[in-house]
Amino acid sequence: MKNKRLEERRNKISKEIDVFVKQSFDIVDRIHEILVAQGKEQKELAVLLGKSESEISKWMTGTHNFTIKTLSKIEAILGEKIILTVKDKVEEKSFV
Amino acid sequence: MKSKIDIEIFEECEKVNFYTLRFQDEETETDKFLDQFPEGCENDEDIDIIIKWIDHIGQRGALERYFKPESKRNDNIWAIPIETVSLRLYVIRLSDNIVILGNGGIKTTGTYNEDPFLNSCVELLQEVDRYIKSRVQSRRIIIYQKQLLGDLTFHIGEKKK
Repeated sequence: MKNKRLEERRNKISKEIDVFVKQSFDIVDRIHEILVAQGKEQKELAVLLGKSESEISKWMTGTHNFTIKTLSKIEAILGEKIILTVKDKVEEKSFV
Repeated sequence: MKSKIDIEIFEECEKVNFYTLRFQDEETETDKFLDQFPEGCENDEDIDIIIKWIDHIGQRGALERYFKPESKRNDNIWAIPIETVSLRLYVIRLSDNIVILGNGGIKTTGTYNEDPFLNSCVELLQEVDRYIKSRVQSRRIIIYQKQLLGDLTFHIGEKKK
């Protein structure tokens, strides 16, 4: 059962917002997945990044606007890819 | 005087049921929130983000890490996180599968307690949360998967039995 009022507004949401929220959720789920795989907690990521734990919690909610610089720092610290670009995908395929 | 309030379903999603609260003869608390931010208002985009956030939570589950901790007490009161402005929609997160949406607004003070309206939004949820816990203990309410079953009517202000 969908809420009628939400549904009316939902139908008018721009593609830009749609993509933004999806990507933000995908990014935080990927970071979480890496942390779990490495046996790390959010507070350890905070220490490694020199940020407060509450700052990291804010990032992990699915509505944070990550900058490329922040994502690069996280990738460098965790040693894992967070975002795959089209170029990455093409290179991956060429190795197969 | 006691006020009658019901918990009712707001929206059902794949992994999460979103409930809301309704005082007798009034619109739901979440409708009151939406009334504050009609289409075309200054915060239109933020409301769109909240709606998309609800969609994703509905598909991915209401995991604690997606919510913004709001109340300092040991309760289930959280806010839907919006970073650009201090827009708050307060919720009770009962489980990974059940969320009760309340009311909220723009936070212009350091804490919600300093704003009488936002404080009343949070206090209402805190009271309902306490009643739910008490009724779950006495089995008047059963949490089954994403459903809240049983006696979902409260009289706010009534003394705990």
